This record gives sequence, structure tokens and C-alpha cells, in this order.
Amino acid sequence: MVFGKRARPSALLFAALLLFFATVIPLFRFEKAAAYGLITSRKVTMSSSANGSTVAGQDVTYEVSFNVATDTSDIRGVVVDFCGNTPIIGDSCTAPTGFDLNITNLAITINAGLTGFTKSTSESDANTLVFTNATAYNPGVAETQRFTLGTAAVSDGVDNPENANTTFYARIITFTTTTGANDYASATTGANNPGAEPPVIDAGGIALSTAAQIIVTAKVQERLLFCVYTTGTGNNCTSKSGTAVTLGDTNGVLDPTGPYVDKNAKFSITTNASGNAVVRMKGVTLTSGANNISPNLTPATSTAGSEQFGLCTYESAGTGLVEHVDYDGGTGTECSSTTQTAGTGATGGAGTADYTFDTNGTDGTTSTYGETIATKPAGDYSTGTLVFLGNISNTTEAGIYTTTLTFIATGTY
Amino acid sequence: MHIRSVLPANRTSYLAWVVGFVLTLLMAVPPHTYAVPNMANRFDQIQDSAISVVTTHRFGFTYTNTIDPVGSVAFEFCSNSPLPAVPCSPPSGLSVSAASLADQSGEAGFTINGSSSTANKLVIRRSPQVPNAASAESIYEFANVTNPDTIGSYYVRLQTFSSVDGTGAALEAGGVVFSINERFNISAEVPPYLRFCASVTIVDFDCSSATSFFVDFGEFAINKPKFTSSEMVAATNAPYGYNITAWGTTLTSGNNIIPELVTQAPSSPGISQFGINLRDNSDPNIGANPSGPGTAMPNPAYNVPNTYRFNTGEAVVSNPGTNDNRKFTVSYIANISTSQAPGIYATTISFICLANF
Repeated sequence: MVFGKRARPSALLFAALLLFFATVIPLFRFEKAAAYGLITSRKVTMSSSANGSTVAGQDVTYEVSFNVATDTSDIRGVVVDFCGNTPIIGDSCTAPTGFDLNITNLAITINAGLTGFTKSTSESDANTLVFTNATAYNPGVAETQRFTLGTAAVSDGVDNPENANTTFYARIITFTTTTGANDYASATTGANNPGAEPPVIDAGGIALSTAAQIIVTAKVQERLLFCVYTTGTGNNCTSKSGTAVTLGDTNGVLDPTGPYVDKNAKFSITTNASGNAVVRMKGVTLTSGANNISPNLTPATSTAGSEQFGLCTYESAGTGLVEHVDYDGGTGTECSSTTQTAGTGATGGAGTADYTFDTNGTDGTTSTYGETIATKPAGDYSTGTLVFLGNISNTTEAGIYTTTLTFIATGTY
Repeated sequence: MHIRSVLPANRTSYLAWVVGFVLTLLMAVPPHTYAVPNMANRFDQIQDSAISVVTTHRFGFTYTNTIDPVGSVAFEFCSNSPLPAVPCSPPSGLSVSAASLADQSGEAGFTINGSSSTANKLVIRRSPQVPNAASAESIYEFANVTNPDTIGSYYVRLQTFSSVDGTGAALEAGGVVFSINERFNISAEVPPYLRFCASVTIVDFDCSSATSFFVDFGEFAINKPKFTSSEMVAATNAPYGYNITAWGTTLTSGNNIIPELVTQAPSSPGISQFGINLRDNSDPNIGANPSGPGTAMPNPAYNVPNTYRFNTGEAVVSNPGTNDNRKFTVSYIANISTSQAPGIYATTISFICLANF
């Protein structure tokens, strides 16, 4: 290298002094260089991000988790410092507004590492947890340390910052001594934030946030769909029609030699009534002028040659329908085992089912609100098949017998 | 109107105007209905679910707010929704204009507030009182409600108020549903019938076994009666019953006759006589009493054992109503005197049964 011209002596002296001070001045600094390790995989998992002014943001559980760095020094103190301004270790920490560790009642559960550590109530405050144990815990390299602040029980957790959608921070510092942790001063800068190494071992910052809670509302209105019909398929009330039921042979004529059974009449029902829906029946027996066909006032099987009118019902589709004991036809499948004979040339089909048509005026079919034949709990459609029975005796007066039956469903919500 | 024309001129007045406008707007917005608690165990029991009929609705529910006084309860019928926040569509054909409060229990003391009620809304009122927590269930039964004219599900919005006219913020609310449906028309025909047959013998009540129609007294003797019998079965569902009449002549042989007994008389051997009855006789030992599930009995003239009679065209059985199978045994007796001309005596007796429908 060739210099174009020689430097002057005063300039050389200035440069020499500059190099001297640059070398010496750092030796007089009181602070030691921040050379602690950085804890890894650090996180704080919150059970709720609601702001602390709401119930959902109070008594929250925080799970603190981190891995120690490569330094496997004994740990006797851990500080978790929650700040509203910055996660930078060494900067003055401002407590998040409204944040409260509720240190007196705070329950801490150690899930991994840090055996025997307990909270120091006297050294902790609303936003700084001092977690110590005089007996050292010696972690392995990158060993996970995990503990939970708060439990599922009431009033032993943390109150989040009081403002929604607000970022706040946690600083985690480990110490070799309990004194180091106890001396940590959150709001200061300098010797006690975080302090020298040792006793400081590792440190690291974490960002957290409260968030506004999304309120989702929906309305479910009271629902009851009920239909009666003789024509139509499917367990629903769609495209259903027909209300005529004819007992008897192909001409609708009853015969004293045997019963005629009709199974065409059905009802379908669905509801969301929490107190169930009740299906009731109103009407009188088959009547022709002053004459009528005697109904089965109590459950009875078919008897050819005796006047009988009655019905039983069973759930032919869906689930949940409960037939009234007087109208279930029996304890088993008696009602569903019946066969259609009305409209044919042959009598029979009644099987061993019981048929009933209780016309009493107190709670029977002629009472004000009719007689209960089935109950439907909240749920999808059920279809009930109504099995009508007609029998006559030799002395049943001639005539055309008719009746109109009304079926009513009532839900209790 | 352009809005600028109503804005005040100076800044202070403008601010007051804005604040006033916002407050007015806030007051005009209805409260969130989901904040109103639901009354519990609510139902609407309808007396008749047919379209367009006049019926009774029986509402029941339990008050859950036992703090605020209740001065009125509203029952609003809607076809679209039970939710108070949704504008109500009155059900077509429904009318509560003529409704009356037929019954009430639990929290009672209400009368219909006519001025607050409409064609699809009933408001009942009372002097405001705090519901009694002990009143488990309250019932309000309204008569003379005309059902909707279309099949389907309909809703009733129930709301309670502190006011006596159904206005203001609801204390409690809840919906119920009722369904309007078709009715089942059930029919069957019972045809008129008359079962009647006559024969020498009939097995049980089976008219197909009635196949013999000739009876023979045998050879007459002066000192003892001759007798024989035949059977008849009758049944009908004729509401006014049936009559069986006997038609024919007494025993004849050419121009000779054995006189019939025109009045009831016992068998008298040695005297020419012919007669019948329908009872079990011992003199002579012939006949049987009527039998079977039916109840019909012979007419008195033919219903006395050991007495006989025969008048053509006379009813031997009359029954006023329907009658099940009944078997009658007809006993025939004949006696002759010493002067009775010889010959072969015969007759044909026809029994005719007429049912009265």
C-alpha cells in the first residue's frame, strides 16, 4: 500500500486516543453483557381470550411452556412477567391494564420439569409471577418445562387484560438462585431486570392477545307438524290426502260372521316440544240415526257376531312414538300384525290385538279435549297407523253407519 | 323534505339536535326479544282441530317471573312464526273477536281487554299483581274462537306485561303451536236381513238343513190324540221386529173336515179337533219351548202348553225389535170323534215371516 502523503502528528495522536478509550471504557461499565440463552418453544396457552371485564375473561387458565436452552444450570427460580408494552427482556415492563394473576388464590400445577417449585406470594404481584424452589432443578438440554396457572375450579385463575383485541406480552426468565428471582424488578431497568448471568440462566418473550368474542345467536321457534291421511307414502306430512275410511266388504257392508279391519288411516307428527306432544282423538262410535254399533269401552279382542267398534295404533315409521296403553293393541306386535280386510271379500284380519274406543265424557273420546292415544317426544317424524275394527251382530239394525273422528295434537313447550 | 332544512343553524343547537335524534332512534328500536325469559310448560289444547269450526283454546303455562307485577297477558295468533320479533301474519279465517274467557285458574282475576284485542289477538287484563310463585300452572280457556280456514300449523305468541293493555316491554314470552287438520270420516253399512226357514227338522239354526216339509199323523184313533211337529228359525235386524203368521186350512178330506180349534183348548180325544201351539207340551207329549239367542216368544194364543188353536192368517210369533236366531217348534194335534167320516185328511200350512224395517 502506498500513501500519497504522510499524516500529520496531531491527527495520529487523536486516532491513538480514540482507540485507547474505545478499548478501556467498556471495562468501567457496571452492566454485564446480556449473554443469557434464549428459551425455545415458549408459549402461553390461554383457556379464554375474552377480555377481563367479562366473566369469560376472568379466572382464566394459562399454560406456560418452554424449553431451556443449552445451558443446563440448576434452576431455582422462574419469573413470568406479563407486560402491556414490550416483551424485550430488560426493558421496563408496564402491567397490562386490568391484568391480575390473583396471586393469593392462584393455583399452579406443574406438568413437566420444575419439580417442587411454588409461587412466592410475597415476591409476586399482579403481573409478575415469582416461582421458586430452594432445591435446584437440573434440566436436561432443551428439556421442556410446563406449568399451569389456574384450574377448572373457580377463582384460582388469571384475569385477562380488560380491553378486547389487545396484545400483551409475557417474559420468562430462569435463575440459578431463588434470590435472583426474588430480586427481579419488573418496572425497572438495570441490575434487577433481568439481572446478571448468573443468576440469570435463560430468558425469552412471548406475545399474547385478548380478542373480542363472537356472539352467535339463533332462534328455534316452537314447532309442531301434524297430519292425518289415508293416502300418501313417506314418514312426513308431504303430499298426503284422504280422510275416508270404509269398513266392510267391497261394498262397505259389515258381516256378523266376522270382522273387517282397516289400516289405511295414518297420522304423522314431528315436534320440538320439550314436554312432548300428545295426540288425542275425539268423536262418537259408528252411528246410524238412533242406532249405533257398540264400541269397545275397554280394550278387547275381536269377537265375530258381537257389535264392536274400536281401534289400535302402532308406530309404522320413525321412532319415539308411545302408544297409550289402551290403544297399543297389546304388549307386543299384536296391532301391527293385523291385516287389511276392509274392502275385500273376506272377513278377518283382526288377529289377537285389542281394540278400544272409550267414549266416556270425562277423558274419553266424547270429553272436551278427547282421549289420548299416543305421545310423541321431541324428534323427527313418527307415523302412527290407525287400525279400525268393525263387527256387527245378528241384531245390529240395518243402516249406513258413520262417524267423524277428529285427531288433535298438542305440544307442551 | 330536504333534511338540511330542519337542521339548526348554530353549532350548539346542531349538536343538541344530533344527540336528540340518536336518543329518539335508540328508543324507537325494540329491545332484543331473546332477552325476555320464556314462560314454562306452555301449551295450547284445542277442542276441535277442524278448519273453520268454532272451538275452544285452553292455554296453560307457568309464570317464571315472580318479581314483576303482571297486568295483562296477550295471546296473538300468527300463521308465520311464534317469535315476537317477527311481524305477525294473521291466520286466514281465524277470529277471536267473539271469544270469551270461559275459564281461568292459577294466576286469575283476568277479563278480556276488548280495546286492546283484535281479530287475531286476545289481551286479558287485571289489576297488576306479582304472580304467586306457588301457582304451578295457570290456565286460560277461551271459547268461541273460529279456527283458520286452511290446514296447517299455526302459532300463538304468549306474552305477559306489567301494563293492563298488552303494551310495553314483555315480562315473559313464549310460543305454542296448534295444528289444523282434516277429520277421518268412517263409514260402514249394515244391510237389512231376515233369516227365516221352516222344516220338519232344522239343525241348530242352519236354514240350509231345512229340507223336509211333510209330516204324517198316521192313522187316527178315537181314544187318543194324533200329533206331530215341525220347526222354524227366524232372525232379523229389522228395527221393528217381525211377525210369523200361519196360513192354511184345517185337515180336510174331500168335503169332510176335522174342525180347527178357533179358541185355545186342550186336546180332547173323541172330539174332532185340529190345532197347533209353539210350546213344550205334555198332553200329548210333543213340542219344545223356543230356543236360541233371540228373545222372541210366541203370541199368547199359541204360548200356553197343552192348549191348542188354529186360525188361518193369525200371527203365531210377534217380536217388536231386532232379534237374533230363534227356533220355534210347532206342535200339531188332531182328534176325531166317532162320527168323523173316513178318509185321508190333509192340509198345507204356510208360515210367513214379515220383518218391519
